[in-house]
Parts: sequence; C-alpha cells; structure tokens
Amino acid sequence: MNTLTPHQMRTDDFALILAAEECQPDAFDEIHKFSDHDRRLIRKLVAHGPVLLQGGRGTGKSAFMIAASREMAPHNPDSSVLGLYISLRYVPLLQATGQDYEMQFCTWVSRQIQKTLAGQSYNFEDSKDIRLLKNNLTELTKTTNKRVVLLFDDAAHIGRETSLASFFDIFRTLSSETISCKAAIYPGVTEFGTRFDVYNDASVIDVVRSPEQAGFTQLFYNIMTSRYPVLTNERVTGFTLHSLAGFLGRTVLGNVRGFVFACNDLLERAESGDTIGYNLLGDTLIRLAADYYWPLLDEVKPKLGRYVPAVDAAQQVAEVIFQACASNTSQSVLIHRQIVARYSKSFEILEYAGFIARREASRALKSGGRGPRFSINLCNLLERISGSRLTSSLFDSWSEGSGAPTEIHERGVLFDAIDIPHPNDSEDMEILGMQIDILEKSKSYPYGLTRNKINSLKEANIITVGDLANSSDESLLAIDGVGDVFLDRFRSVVGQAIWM
Amino acid sequence: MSNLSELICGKVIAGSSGNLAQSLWHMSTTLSLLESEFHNLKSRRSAISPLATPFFLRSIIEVSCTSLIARLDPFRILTLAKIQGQSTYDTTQKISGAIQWKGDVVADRAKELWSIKIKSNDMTRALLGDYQDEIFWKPAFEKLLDYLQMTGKVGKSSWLAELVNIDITSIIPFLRGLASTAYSKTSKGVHHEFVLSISSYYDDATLDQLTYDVIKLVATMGLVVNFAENSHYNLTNSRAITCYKAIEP
Repeated sequence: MNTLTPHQMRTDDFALILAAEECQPDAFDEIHKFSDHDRRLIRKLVAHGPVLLQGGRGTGKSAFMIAASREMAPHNPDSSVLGLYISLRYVPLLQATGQDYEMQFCTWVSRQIQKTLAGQSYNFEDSKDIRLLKNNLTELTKTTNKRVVLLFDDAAHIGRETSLASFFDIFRTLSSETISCKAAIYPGVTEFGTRFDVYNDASVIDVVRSPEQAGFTQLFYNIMTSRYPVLTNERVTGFTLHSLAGFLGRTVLGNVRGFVFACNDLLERAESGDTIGYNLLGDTLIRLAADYYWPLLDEVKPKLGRYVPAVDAAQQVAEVIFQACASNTSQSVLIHRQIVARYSKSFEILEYAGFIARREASRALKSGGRGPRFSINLCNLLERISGSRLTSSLFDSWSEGSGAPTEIHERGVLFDAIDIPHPNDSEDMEILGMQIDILEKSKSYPYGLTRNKINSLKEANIITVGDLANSSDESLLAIDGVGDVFLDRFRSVVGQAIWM
Repeated sequence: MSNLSELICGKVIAGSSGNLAQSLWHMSTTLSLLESEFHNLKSRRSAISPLATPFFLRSIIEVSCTSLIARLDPFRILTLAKIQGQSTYDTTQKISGAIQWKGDVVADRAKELWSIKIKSNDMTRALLGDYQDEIFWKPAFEKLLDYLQMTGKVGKSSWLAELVNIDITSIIPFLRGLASTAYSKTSKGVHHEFVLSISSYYDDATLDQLTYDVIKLVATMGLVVNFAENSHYNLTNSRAITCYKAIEP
C-alpha cells in the first residue's frame, strides 16, 4: 500500500479546494496568496465606504472578501473594525421581492451575524426588517466601539434582476458613517434598481489579474508551490516551474479556479511518473478546454432565467472568436462595439465563464470604429490551432504575450450566422425543475453528489433541485445516513447548482 | 514642482507674465507645498493624522479642480483674479464669484443637452458637468486611449490598465463618482461633523484608502486634461504619461 508523504497529503487536500468559501479557516493563509495589487484591493474592502467587487467565476472574489474579514475583528481582535463575512450562496432561495424579500434577507443575515459573533461578549438581536437590522448594527458599533464592514459574497447574479433591485436597496440603506457594505457581483449584473446609482452609491472594483501586472508570474508561482509542493523543477522539462506557473496563469486569463484545475490535471499526470514537458502540458490545456470551459456553459445555462437564449449564442460567439484568433495566431481579439452590443449578454456570459477577459474598453480598429479588446483563454485557442499541439515556440510566444489582436469589424460576415438572442419573458430558473440526478458528480458538477446519496434523496421524495433547495434542515437530517456533514454537502452542492 | 502639480497645472514656469500663467504657477506651488507637508505628516504617523489628513486631501482636491478649471475654461479664474485684485476685495465678506464645488466642479444633470431652446446661461460649465463631458472629456479621453494604443505605454501601470478598461462614455460618471465620494468624505473631517470619536470613522485603513483615492482621482483628471486640444499649458503626451506613472504608488 502506498503511503502519502506529508507533502503529498497537503497537495491532495488542497487540490480539492476550488472555492475559498470551502476552505477550512486554518488552511486559508497557507494556500491563498495575494500580489501587491491584490493587497491594495483587500485594503479597500477593509476601509470605510461601499464597494462592489466585480469579477467572473473563479477570479478570487470570495478569497478577497475572506482575506479582508480576517484582517478585522473578531478574527483580528486588535482591529478597530468588525468584519462580518456573509456568503449569500447558502441563503435559502430568495425568489421573493419587495417586503417579503426584505424580511427573509434581514432575518437570514442577522442569523449569520449571530453565528459569526458566537463566543463573543456581545449579542446581536434577530432583525426582521431593514430598520431593525440597521438599528442592531448601529448598536453593535456602539457596544464594540468598532465600525462594521458587511461583506456580502455571491450577492448578485446575471438573470436575477427582480431580487437584485431589492438587494441594492438594502445595500444602500444599510450604509452609514459606521456601517459599510461590500458586495461581490458578477460581470453582466447591470440592473441595480431605480434607487441605486452605481457610480455614486459605491466604488466598483474589477477583479483583474493580467500578465502585464507586476508580480503576476510570482503570484501564480506562489499559489502553485503552496498548493502543490510535489511540483518541483525536477518534475518539469523544457521550462522552469516559475515559467510554467506564469504560462498557466496567462493561459487561464489569471483565473485562479482555472489555474487550480490545470494544476490538478498536471499533478495527475506527474503522479503517474511522467515529466511535465510541452506535450503533457498541451494535453492538459486541451483537457481543460473540453472538461472545464465548455461544460461551464452547460452548467450555467439552466441558472440564467430570462437569459437562457444567450448561452447558445455565447457558444457560437466563442467558436467564431477562437477560430478567428487561431487563424491569425493572436491571443486577443478586438471586436467592433456594435457587434458586442448586439450580443452583449453572450459576451458577459463568456467573461463570466473565463473564455475571454476584457482588457480594453474602447480601442480603435484599423478598419474604422472602436470596440473592446478581449484576451482569450489559451486552452480553447490551442483546441482550434491546427494539430492542437503545444510546441516550444508556441510556449515562448504565448509567454511573451506580444502580438496584435485579431480584428472583427462591423461589416464582416463572421457573426452573420449567429441569431441575436432575445431574453425570455419569464425569470424562472430551469434548474429548479430539473431532476436531482444532474447533481451527480460530473464535469459540470465537480463537487457533485454520489449516486447513493442521490438515491437516498429520491427515496425521501426529493425529486428536483428545487425540492432539495426548499427542504428544511430537519427533513434532510431525517433521511437515513444523513448527518451534519452531509447536510452541509447537500447545501453546498445545491448552492453551486442554483447560484452562479 | 512635483509630478502631481506638473500634471495638474501644466507646463507653466516661474516668472511668467500672463495672468493665467501666474495663477497656475501660484496653484502649482500651493499644490507642491500641500503634498510635501502631507508627506511629512504621514511620515510622522502621529495622532494628529485623523484631524489633519482630511484637510490636506480636501485642499488637494480643491486646488487641483481649480487649476483644471483654469486650464480648460480660464474665464472663471481670470475674472475671479480680477475680483480678488480690487481694493474693495474684503476677505471677511462672502465672495459670490468664488469657485464653488456645486456649480463649478459638479452640477445637476442636464435634461436635454442640445435643444435649440436652451440658453447659454443654462448650459453648465462645471468641470465634471454634462457639457464639459461632451465637448472636452470624451474627445480628450479618446485621444489618450489612442496614444496608449499606439505607443503601448500602459506597461505595468495598474492605473493605466484600469483606465483603458473604462468606456469613453463612462469616464465622467467614473470621475464624478470618485470626486463626489472623496470630497464628501474629506469634508466631514474638515467641518468636524462627528459627535462620536473621529478615530472610528477615520481609522488607518480608511485614511490610507482615502489618500490613495484622492491622489488617483486628481492625477487621472490631470492626465486626461493634458490630452485635450482646448486646454492651456499642456504637457507633451509622453511627459504626461511619465508624470502619471511616477505618481502611482
């Protein structure tokens, strides 16, 4: 029987952690690394003032929020600020609007605050409406003599406009001289309700990690060496571990979750004794395209409510972009703004899923007009390149990152075959009516449930994802073989399925 | 002259004879002095910091905005200089023509910008107002973006990388939001509105962020102004970028 060394054990444990909110607090600092640029962003979350933290899936929003909360009390008792991290991923389904939404939201938030403050010397009362919640928070600032920062993670999602207006109303109302709200939102959240002025009521910060930033390669090297100590210079050939980390970071557009998936895949190959060279690395990129990026669109689709039609268009847009860039061997694409405007939601979905990352908002095209320039992920690009093989010259040229963008101008024909998607009338989420079988562990649901557990749920007459989401803790704990650990697992998986 | 004062006040030199140049030179000197005193204060990190920092930051915002108004629309500053030069000028009296935050820097949103019925008096000339946005900020910002694209000078600058990711139509909402927030936050410390301990509002993290935001705001406004065809004493494009990068921490 093989025995894992302490290093290997750490690697195995950490490889499974794909989301900061799933990480045990004791291990957080060990595996979450930040550049100077990131540290500046975290300081903004600790400082007074409302902030919207915007970034696609896996860009590290949760890690930033948790890191900020750890700089404040109660984690850091010496701090003059009380930081309350509240993940809305696990909030019971909030399909209500107006006063109903407010009541459910405030009740839930006050309970989360009570949990965070458990063991402290001060109490926090139940709060059923915004007035009471604000009063109780103000009282908390007085009893603790600290100002309060509320960090709402997973706050706003594409396709949930109705509840978003209520959320941003609450966000604005809670903010005061001693209470600041910070919220993590996804790109594509454009509806903030009638009372919320995005530029005046908050600072919007884009979570961007681009290779041009100072410390980019070092950051990914630090992540790699802290999570995967078995990956050493002896395990690679043709390049150093440092350059591999920078290359992979660039490949996934600075997306930490994509980077972790890539490292996990490399690790599997390395564990079978292979040395990591160009061929093996290229294979990893191709697998990432097939098993991570494309399935993300399938996973997202049933969650998007009225924007479901934009997903099919997003897939076609992606295919056009990657093919065009492969033909020109370029790593970025400049698209006329009118094309982007026509398929705006599809572009937002591609940004969310990490296919593209906007680097410039308005750049001049040679053929006239202006448009945004997007960097594209290199896994899907390699897929489209003839032979799909990563050579040393391709590695070097992509590592340098130079080269002009491919231009797609307004009068071109590339987008002609893509129907312009129109939103559905209904905001209902298809995912809620889907059978819970879709939650079985798969490429789309790497966190998924085992077949046994799904069968147990079905025997308890929990048939759809909506049934599971709406089940009480008590009813789930009554199922044979389900204890607190599995209850958390169910909540986590259904949270991932419903939320973006 | 510091990088910031050069970027904000432009290429003015000591001893210039023109009224506008003299005013800008005065403001440039004031801005440099404010910066250096502020740095001295920060290096001491004394208990006075929460009391003095808002004052310095608000002063930097005010001198910067006045300088930029002077470079873009000198009428306001030249007429004000005339008023201040009169023997009847009395510092104990309210000066109706003085630069005001509301009116000269920010203004109510215009309902219909280019209606044939609109009178010139109703067209706000506020620095961050809707008309300046249309006739000056957008073209200047576009010129800046084109220059950065042509020269590839974004480099490793986080501030420039953020700027090139702002849409041309969003530059003024972005700057207006930053300016309004920074002005409001610093003003609270100047007017001593707080009846509770000031340290809970102006703690180290908040003051540090406020300082960062204010310097970034005024430097960014200064950078864009240097790319406007109708502003005075512009630096060369290259020099403006060099100053901006030198200011970024």
